[in-house]
Amino acid sequence: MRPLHVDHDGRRLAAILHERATATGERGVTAAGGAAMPAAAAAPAALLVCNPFGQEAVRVHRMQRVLCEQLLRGGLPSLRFDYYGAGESLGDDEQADPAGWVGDILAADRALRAQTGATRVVWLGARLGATLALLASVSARPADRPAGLVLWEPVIDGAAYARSLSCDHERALRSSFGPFLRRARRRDRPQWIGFGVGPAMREQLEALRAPLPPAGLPVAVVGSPSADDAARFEPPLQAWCERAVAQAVQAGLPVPRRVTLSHQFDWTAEDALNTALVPAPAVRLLRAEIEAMR
Amino acid sequence: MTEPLLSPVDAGGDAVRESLCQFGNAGQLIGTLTHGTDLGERTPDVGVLLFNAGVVARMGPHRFNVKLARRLARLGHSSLRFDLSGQGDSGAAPGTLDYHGQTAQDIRDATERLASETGARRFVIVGICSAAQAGWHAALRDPRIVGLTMIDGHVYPTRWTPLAHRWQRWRERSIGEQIAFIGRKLRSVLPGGTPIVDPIPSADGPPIDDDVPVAPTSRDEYARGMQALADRGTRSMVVFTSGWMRYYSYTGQFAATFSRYPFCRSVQLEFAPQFDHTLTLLESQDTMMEWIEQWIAKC
Repeated sequence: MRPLHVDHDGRRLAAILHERATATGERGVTAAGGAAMPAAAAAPAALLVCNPFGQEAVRVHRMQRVLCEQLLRGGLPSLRFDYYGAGESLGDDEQADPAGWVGDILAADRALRAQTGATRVVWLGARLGATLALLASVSARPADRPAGLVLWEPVIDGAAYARSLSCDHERALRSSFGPFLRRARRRDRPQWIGFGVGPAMREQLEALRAPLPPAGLPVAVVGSPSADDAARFEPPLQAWCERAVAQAVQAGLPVPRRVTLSHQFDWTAEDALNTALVPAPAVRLLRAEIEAMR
Repeated sequence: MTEPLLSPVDAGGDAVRESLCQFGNAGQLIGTLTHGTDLGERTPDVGVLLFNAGVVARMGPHRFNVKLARRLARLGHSSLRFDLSGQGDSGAAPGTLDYHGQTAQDIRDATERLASETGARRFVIVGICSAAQAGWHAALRDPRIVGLTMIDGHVYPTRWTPLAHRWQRWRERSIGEQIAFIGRKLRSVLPGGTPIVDPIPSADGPPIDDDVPVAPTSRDEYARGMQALADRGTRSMVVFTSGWMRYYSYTGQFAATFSRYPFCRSVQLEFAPQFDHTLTLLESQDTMMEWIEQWIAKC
């Protein structure tokens, strides 16, 4: 693993590159915008990991690292990074916004290609990260599009997602404070489970709808089975998949794969205890989908 | 390997410079250096070390370490927040040290790195939960560590802790809830009633609840260590939140436990039931950062 910065448009992002060191030990220094030393041996394919939001990114961090390490053992390098205003990247919580994060994905993709020489990059996105990956793939020039998208429980309706985060915030406080919640000193500062929320984040989420993927782009959608029908996803995701399939069928192109993950991942859990940080079924499934696209 | 600094980038209104680095014997450790703003002759020489709280990566619970590092940078304090071996983004250590030995080695390596990068000669550690305990052990071994903030670190219940905990919980109930509780309690003692289980730690000895990391340090060992730190001038701030309420349930518990030791008078103690263990509320984060900022000024 090697830390590097991705610089673009005055935004400095922290990233971790999973790569094999060259025989001479030489390694690049900066990503986009910086003078790079010779990169590791060219790889035809690589993986870009698009984080979810806030506490969901905290929850999935370890699993993504393990997944990247496993993929590297199979010869696939990868890049994990934090969006502006998130994780180790510069920017305050309140400066974060989905539109800016879409630009961050495209910049991170360029950095990954520059560092590894990859010509085919698969994007893996979880939750909001999956939705942003979709938006980025739509806005990217055809030559810059990913080789495929693996979307893990993408957020379909941003407004509904914002409401669920508000509920999860209250749940997290009840869980964390226990009987002492009334002692908490709360003001009116917008926040979701420990992370500040600026007006741009809230407004853009309210208007966010997951677009359909670019025609012909290989897509795998990973989701949990619906409580009512194990063969289907929950209604919003199921409906989105059906629209994506219809679009592909109409164009005579390969249809998105729907993959069911029976493991229920608690995306916003605060507690590290009694919850799987690296659920093996999820790692296995995501790895298989990514390797199928490389 | 440290990435060369580029021009300062705006990070919330002020210029904060950050760079990523790799260090440790095998280069397995990954960290982020936040460079203190140059305040001219007033530039402090105290560097700040931050690392994983439990299994959370170096950014800390809810990004607290990031926010703290940048706030302190504006006061001139450089910091290194890093992932311990095998955690966050750091690789596993190649050696044969056990967890505690490796943690101590990692903190030493980070101290050296921060010293060489910034010229800092004195250091403080701010740790939450397991990081508080690890920081305490590191401070005992390294006289350059002149300050230690321990949030929900070592905790030693007294015979009054269970009673005070019950009282604290009772205070949280409304009159209606109190009446309902008394009703349930009375029904539970009637024939056929279901006993109410109240997981309160025993009065003496370690907590009985095994879902919380228990200090592997005995009360006497902790006291001797704290005294040694105080004797050499290391300042300590000890904070207990509502997350540790089962184990620390009243303001005077620390003094009741350690009053016979002189160090007790020099420790800044904050009993903070208005915070939770991971500082979920932004208001908690702000207040904690204010406390740390003021405390570091005394170091």
